[in-house]
Amino acid sequence: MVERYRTENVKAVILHPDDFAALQASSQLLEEIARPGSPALTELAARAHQVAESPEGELITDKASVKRLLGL
Amino acid sequence: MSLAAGEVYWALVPYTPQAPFQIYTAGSSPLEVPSVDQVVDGLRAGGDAEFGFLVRAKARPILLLSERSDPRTGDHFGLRLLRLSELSTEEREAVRDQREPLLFHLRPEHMANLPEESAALISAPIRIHESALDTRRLLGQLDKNEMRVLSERFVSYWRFDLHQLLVAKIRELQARWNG
Repeated sequence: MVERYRTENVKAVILHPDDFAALQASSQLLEEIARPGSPALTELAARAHQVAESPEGELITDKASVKRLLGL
Repeated sequence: MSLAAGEVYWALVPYTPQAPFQIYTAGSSPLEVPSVDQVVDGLRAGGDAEFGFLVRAKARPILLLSERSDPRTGDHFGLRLLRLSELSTEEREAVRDQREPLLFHLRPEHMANLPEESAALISAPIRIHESALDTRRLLGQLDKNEMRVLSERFVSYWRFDLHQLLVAKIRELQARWNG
């Protein structure tokens, strides 16, 4: 640790190259495994998504019919 | 076009429907229904019947939470933003100092084309179709570290159960160390 004025005022850290390499390797390893395995969108999943987003029934816009269905 | 997590674009964003619901009727004023039960019962009684609902929407910037997209679905996942001008002076300072975890401050130096200083609302995720996303102009972009903090806050707030994922990652880490 390189301090300036007081111990709580650390300005830099000096590491042995081997320690630095070990820290760097750990950081890289964490970087590599941090991203979750991401499943691909299969054909079935894509089709299911499209089905869920597609209107499938009759659109009721006639006021009397809407009121009747809602029991109003 | 390839989009990245942390990018901000204009989008057409509807308000989340909530009671009372406005049902469209042709040639007359909409019908107001006070509760979801009434709508569900009515639609179920009608078999495959569907109603048209009146939902307000506006153009607003959104922050993309994921770069994941697929032309077969066309969907993106993002967060709504809040203009800091909507807050009091003290609240704005709290957001800028990142003391309000659910309002993620978007630093203006990263948001050059965003009209106003804003925060991403961790509590307001939204799914946006690509046809409702205006990608002509990038408004700004979070850096990798900011996205990591935002993602952590997002999964924490929404209480995603990451147990299995964490266990798998710890095992993977152990295997890599031992290998």
